[in-house]
Amino acid sequence: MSERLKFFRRLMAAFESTADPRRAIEKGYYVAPPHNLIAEEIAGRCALRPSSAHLLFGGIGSGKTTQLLVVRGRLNELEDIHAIYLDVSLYTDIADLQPGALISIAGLELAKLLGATDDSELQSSKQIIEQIAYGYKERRLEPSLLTIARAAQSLDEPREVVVHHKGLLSTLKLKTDSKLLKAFTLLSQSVSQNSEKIIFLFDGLDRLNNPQTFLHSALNDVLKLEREGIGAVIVGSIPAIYSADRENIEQFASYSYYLSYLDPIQDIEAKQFFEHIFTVRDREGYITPEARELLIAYSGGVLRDLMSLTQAAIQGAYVDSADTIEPEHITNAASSLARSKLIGLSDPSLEILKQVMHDLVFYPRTKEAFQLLLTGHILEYQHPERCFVVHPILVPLIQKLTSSGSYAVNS
Amino acid sequence: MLSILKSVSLGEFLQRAGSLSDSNIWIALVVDLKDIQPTVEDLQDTIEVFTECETGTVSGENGAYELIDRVADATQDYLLLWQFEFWQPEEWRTFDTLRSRLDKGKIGGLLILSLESAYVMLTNAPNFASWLGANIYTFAKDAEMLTQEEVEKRLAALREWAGKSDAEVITLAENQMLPTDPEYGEWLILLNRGELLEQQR
Repeated sequence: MSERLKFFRRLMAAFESTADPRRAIEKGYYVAPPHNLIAEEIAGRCALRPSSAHLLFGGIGSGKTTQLLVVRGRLNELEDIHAIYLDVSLYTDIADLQPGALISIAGLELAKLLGATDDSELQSSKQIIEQIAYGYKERRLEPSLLTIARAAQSLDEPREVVVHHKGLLSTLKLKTDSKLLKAFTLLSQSVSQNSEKIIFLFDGLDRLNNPQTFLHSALNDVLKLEREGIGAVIVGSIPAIYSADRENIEQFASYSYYLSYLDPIQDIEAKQFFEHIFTVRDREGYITPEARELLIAYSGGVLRDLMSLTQAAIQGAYVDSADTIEPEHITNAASSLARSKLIGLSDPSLEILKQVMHDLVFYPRTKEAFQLLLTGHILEYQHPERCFVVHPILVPLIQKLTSSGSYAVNS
Repeated sequence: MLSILKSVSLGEFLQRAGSLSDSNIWIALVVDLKDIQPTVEDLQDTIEVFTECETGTVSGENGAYELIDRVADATQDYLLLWQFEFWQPEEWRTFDTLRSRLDKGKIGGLLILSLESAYVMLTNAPNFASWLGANIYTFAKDAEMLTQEEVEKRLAALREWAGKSDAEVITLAENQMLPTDPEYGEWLILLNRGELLEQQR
């Protein structure tokens, strides 16, 4: 492998946008964002009140997972708190999230934390949680049919039947079992006696787009955990926060936070934050200052888009046999990303984008509008003032499509 | 409508794929429906040679759950995912909610799908689409899309880069001594000697 290829791979690795954020934090790439010191705020509140419940909302690629991991790091620096990060989607199909699922996932983690035990009650609690989580078979003696139906004498013997109990984490449903909470309480009390307060950080639920499921399955569980003295931070999706259940949803948690995007043009501190990201990840300056400026502007303040654009530009420079990343590489990368973002958009969605571009106002009410916020086609900024804009990378392409009349890109 | 996506030749695709670090990086390649199977077969061998990693294929024919499970069980370093053509929006939504299970640390992969499937994916799997970012291309299977002048220009750049002649590269390939930089794969394709790629394994 040539030295040039090795060099470009190293530069690409510095701008990974899809790797586990833990790797970026470990490599020292984490830069705290301005204004929204959400991680510090959540960590501070959890430290003061470990059994509180917190809701964190944000669009795709806004850095929610990174914030959760920073919270975990901050809390675990405290000697009496043990924060556990869990990606719920690794345990169960969140589209079919069942009431009790988060409690059973938390219970499984407590069981791990507890380790081997001679206490029969704790052993039994661990078994109950595993059974409820993963499902189990049970052999039961049923009363004779004669007893029930006063039927023929040949049916007078008791019968053994196999009952299948599907797990909460399986895709099939199970009625919420009070045994679960009892077993969980026993485990949590035992773990807490070992001196630590437990706080669970539930990630992945932002992909749960049904506000009802979010409310009745996820948030209900968090509330129950709070009652048991267990703290929780849970991420939610934008459709949930803008839904009719918003008040209900916010009532469930002690605190809610919104991770808005940072305006890279009007907000000076935000711009400095993005510049700092390049300083940390490209110390030698292979990405020229002009290219960096373009990248920051095109990203619209969406961190994942900034990384994705930068990687695409680095690839473009590599293919062009260039030694540095120049503005033309950024322009090409921006064109590719814009086209990827535009494909699959429905005509009503394009109409909304066009309207926001024209009127500079946005009142999300429809499913399409929520989806555009979730996917970052429309960006919400809160500094220097609250406003909604169409992602800057899309603007030239939408203008071109509109003026050429070839409007439908999904037909 | 294919023209809305960036089109790449096999050579450029190999260069782009070769420049990726070992990580959870996914690329989508949009090809004509009739070309999906031959593209998967061709790319499996070629990627193996030029990215120096074992490559496996995973079919989506039995739906998102099975595909995700098979990705989790796969032992190869790089995965080609295909057969999405029967997936309805619901299947893509399931795939999207299970996105985290695709992250195997140092292993990424390539989705090969038709334009219709790409539309359904981008509409119904926004979280996965954010992972793809700009890494969605249409595939110009051969290099015919380049004019002769463009081919000559690129070949001249490759000769200068490697300090080798076309004949030397062909001899290296015939003797299975070709370096694994993706540029050499592109070079052979531009010389219409793509068949030599398969001998490099």
